[in-house]
Order: sequence, then C-alpha cells, then structure tokens
Amino acid sequence: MHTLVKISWRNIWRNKRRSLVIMTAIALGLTGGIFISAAYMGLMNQTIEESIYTQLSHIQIHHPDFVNDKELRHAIAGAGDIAETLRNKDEVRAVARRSVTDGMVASPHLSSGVSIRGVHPEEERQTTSFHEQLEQGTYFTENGRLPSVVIGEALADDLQSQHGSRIVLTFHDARGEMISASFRVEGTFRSTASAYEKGNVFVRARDLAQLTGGDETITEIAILLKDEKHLESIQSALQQDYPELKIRTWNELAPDLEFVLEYTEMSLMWIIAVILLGVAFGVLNTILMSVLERTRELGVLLSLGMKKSRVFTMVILETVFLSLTGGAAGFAAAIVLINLLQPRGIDLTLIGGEALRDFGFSPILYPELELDFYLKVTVMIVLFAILAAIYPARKAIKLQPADAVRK
Amino acid sequence: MQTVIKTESLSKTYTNTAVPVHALKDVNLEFKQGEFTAIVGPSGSGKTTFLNVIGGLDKPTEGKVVIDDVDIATMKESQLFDFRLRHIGFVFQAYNLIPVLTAVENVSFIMLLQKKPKKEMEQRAREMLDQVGLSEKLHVRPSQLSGGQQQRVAVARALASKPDFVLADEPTANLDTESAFNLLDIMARLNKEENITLIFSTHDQRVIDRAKRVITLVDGAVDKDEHFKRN
Repeated sequence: MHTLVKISWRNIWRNKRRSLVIMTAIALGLTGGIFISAAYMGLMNQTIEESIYTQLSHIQIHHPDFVNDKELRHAIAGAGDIAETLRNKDEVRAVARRSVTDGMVASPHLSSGVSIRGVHPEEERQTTSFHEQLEQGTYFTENGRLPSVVIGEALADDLQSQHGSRIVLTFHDARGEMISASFRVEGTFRSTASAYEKGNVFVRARDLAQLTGGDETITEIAILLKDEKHLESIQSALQQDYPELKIRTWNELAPDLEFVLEYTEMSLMWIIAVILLGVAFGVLNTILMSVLERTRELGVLLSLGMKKSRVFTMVILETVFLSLTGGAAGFAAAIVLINLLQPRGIDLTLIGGEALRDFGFSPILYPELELDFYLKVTVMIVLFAILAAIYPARKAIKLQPADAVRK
Repeated sequence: MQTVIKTESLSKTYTNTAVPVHALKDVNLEFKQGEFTAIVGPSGSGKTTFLNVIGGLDKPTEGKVVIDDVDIATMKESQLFDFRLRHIGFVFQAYNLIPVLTAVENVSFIMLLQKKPKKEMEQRAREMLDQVGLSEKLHVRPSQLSGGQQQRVAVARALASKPDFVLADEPTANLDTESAFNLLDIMARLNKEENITLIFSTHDQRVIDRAKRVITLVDGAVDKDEHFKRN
C-alpha cells in the first residue's frame, strides 16, 4: 500500500500544470463555498448567542401553566430559595428572577401588546448582556417620581416616545385585577431583531410588586451556565429536584432557532455539494486524460502482474490526492479570509443589510466555522473524488495488457 | 534439462479484423531450463503473439501452453495475473519502466507485488542493479537515464524476482550498437549465472548471433528450429 500511495502521489505531479489548474478550481470553489458558509453560520451563531446572552439564558424555569398563559398568577412558589440553591451550583454562572407578564403599552399615539419583563437589574446584569444594548438613556439607575421602563428603539419609534417620555403599561396582577400605571422611559435598547424591540419592555420587578400591592411575583427564573456542555445534565437534575415546574433549555424555548441552525447547516452542505459536483467533472476529465495518456504504462503494470484491484485503487488514490490537495488550499485560503474579516465583521448596512434586523439577524456578519464543518467537507471531497475516479479507474482496468503495452 | 514451457498445437486467430488473421498455426515447441532462445521472423510472422500467448497476456484460440504441468490457457484472468507475477519476467521494447519510481524502486517493484520482505527486496534490487552496471544510479528516475541504461534497469527488474523464464520483446530494437551489445552481454551472463530461461523475439542480427537456439516463424508457423553452440 505504501508504494501504491507513493506512486499515486508522484503521478499527480507528472503534469504539474494540469494538476495545478484543477487544484486551483477546487480551491477557488471551496474558498467561496466555505467563506459563504462561515458568513451564514456566523450569522446564525450570532443570533443564537445573542438570544442566549441577552434574552433566553441557557435554562428557564416556569410554572407549567405559564407556558401558555403568561400572567403573574402563574408564579413560581419559593422562587427566592430556588434561585439561591441554583447560585450555589458549580456549573451555574448566574441566576436572574423575573416577573414576566403579557400586557399592553400605550402612548398618545399607539397602544400595542408587549411582554412586560420585571427584572432585578443587578441579577440581570450578571445573567444577560442586555444592558450593553442600551442606545439612549440609562439602565435602571434613576429613581424618579414615576417608575422606569426601558423599551426597544423600534417600539419607541412606533410609540413616538423617547428618553423621558411617559408611557402607560397595563397588565393583570396575580389576583387577576387589571393594573394600569404610568412609566417614564429611562432608556431605549437596540437588538438585532426589531420584533424583539417591539415586543418587550423592561421594568424593575419591585416596581411591579409595588403596583400590585403585594410581594414580588416571580414567574421566570433564568439560568446562565458556565459551559453549555452542562445544559442537559443540569436540566435533568433540576427536573428531578423540581418535578412540579417546567424546566426548559434555550433550544426548547426557541425551537425555531435550533431548526434554523440545523437547516442552515444542511443548506450550506448542499451548496458545497453542488460546488464539489461541478468541480468533480473537471477532476474526472483530468484523471481520464491522465489514464488515457498512460495506457502503455498501465498495460505494463497489468502485464507485470499488478492486480486490477490495485490499479483501480491507484487511480482512486490519485484522484483523492489531487482533490484533497486542492481542498487543503481552499481551506487555507478560506481560513485566512475568515480570520482577516472576523475581528471587524462584514458590515452589510452599506448594501441594504439593515433589513436583516426585521428578521432577527444582525446586519454585521462575523464569519465563523467550526472544525466539525471542515471535517464534513473533507469527507465530501473524498466521496466526490472517489465518484469522479470510478469511470477513469474502470477504463484503466479494462485495458488488455498485451495491447496496452504496444500503444 | 527440465522443460520449462511446452506448447502443443498452439494456434491463435484474430477475428476482430476484416479478414481473420491466423497469427499462430499449430506451434509445438519446448523450452528447457536455462535456454537462450531467439524467436525470429519477418514482421507479422507471429513473434509477439507467440510471446504474448506463452506469457499469459493473450489466450490461444486452440492448443495448450503448459508451464509447470499447468495449462495456462485454461486459467482465469485473476489466476493469470498471479501466475505472471510469480513465474514470468518481461522486458519490453520501449523499456516501460515506471517513470515516477527510481531505478532501485523499479527493480524492487515486482518483488514488492510478491510481498517479499523489505530487506531481502532492497538487497536483491541493489545486487541486480550492480550486476547490470548501474550501482551508481540507484536513486535516479528513468527520465534521467539513457535508453540503454533504462533497458538495463528493465532487465534487472525482470530478473530480480528470479522468474522461471524471461520474455523479451525486441529488447534491443531501440538501442544503439554499443548499448545493445552491452545489454546482450549482461543478459548472456545472467542467463549463465542465474540459469534463467531467456526467450527473445527479434530481428536484430546481433541478438540472433548470441542465441543458442533460433526459432524462425513464418506466417505464424515454425519454419526452422536451430541449435547453436556458443560461448
């Protein structure tokens, strides 16, 4: 096998120019395919990361009825103790308690349905990086006459409100009584998703409690882990400890994100496959030419007693080496390109990428690709090379040694 | 002397031509161990066909080729591959070395296919290249060797695995006089020292003059079978 590998490797360098042309074609195709994949995967990962670190956290705990009816009456009993226990777990980085309820926001210009999120600013600061998305104003540092609210930029535009404006929030308390109260806009935030900006407002949990005239009603506990690898083990441990509560991971909370990620990866694999299929015909042509040019030499190998299976393997190996060398060059070029563009990202706002925000994506792409993707593409290169080699290899072993040596 | 190859009523007719061509007609020959035989005859007389048939590269239309008490004409293709590998050495007119392998790798090649131990293989390949006067060219590729040197490597390759016999199809046809004589000297010496049966097809008088047996084919049939005493 060692000699077969050696002969095959040396054979691809016999006609350097021809081999380099097809290797360049493979490299260019893969550079493009991988770079596009990195851009898309970067976009998806950014979206997921942002969802986890600014909104969802890794795990959330709710009362089971809260899942379909987001009202304060579905509170988590003993939420304070649960949060304290969770903070003492090694795998847990931070825990935030929230009073979340569906409600309405109104300004003199518009009223709209929103999710009112009563937070503990200090806990929230440790659990999510939401505060970093502040565009105007401050994040729960003011103690004015009216309680503070932080709203999304898109919602502020719709409400025609700005920092300092007064808006009214309406919601049901834990007893089902309707509460309506004025809040002052302390800050506005910008998210990658305009829908999130329009659908969520943030207030202090304690302000909600004061308005409802009772203790804080915690309906959501968000948990940020130190490492996502503990996701499932922590989830199952919590489910055992609190069987009466609903414990959900981020991908259960936002199954669309998980689906989009998987669908994107699959789509990108198909794009790469189409690129490789096109290149495979070029590879087939190159190897076929090489086989036809070597009729006599192959005839000699067969005459000397080299088995057809070995000749077949030799042609396959040549094709695989040719493709993998081109593939490696493509990988290298793509990695250089990705690393060059990753720190600053690719700003799509210059070409109308602002619209991406409407779909929940950032208009600045930070290309990134995991090792796993490269491994899958490598396997695809080998498979396509083998497919491309079958016809020339069959041609090689169909040679009649006696005729071939005289060609 | 032991019979190495025996042909019985050997015939070969090519039917894939406009008119059937009878390349071999009722050839009955025996070759003994250590013989140095030249197969001669005009172009189209059947020399190459004869070598191809007794070398297992082509099948006869009729008759037998008995080697080691086995009729190779009845062998399956896969058996023939193995048979050629184990029993026959080939030298071709156009040298036909593997261009991407060095001289020593080319000589080792058949032994490698035979799965001989690496040490033994390398030692034998060096020894053979030494015998053909190319011990200085072990790691040189064929493109850097002259025609005569390439053919000497081809001879070393054919003989290295100690086959039962070596078939050489016009081995001197592409060589100048000096290289041809040099090659013939080497082959005659190896024939003597290694007691290997050598069968050449040729119309080169220089080869014919060295052969101890000269078989003349005319229109696919044996016209003359002459034995000579030569040193």
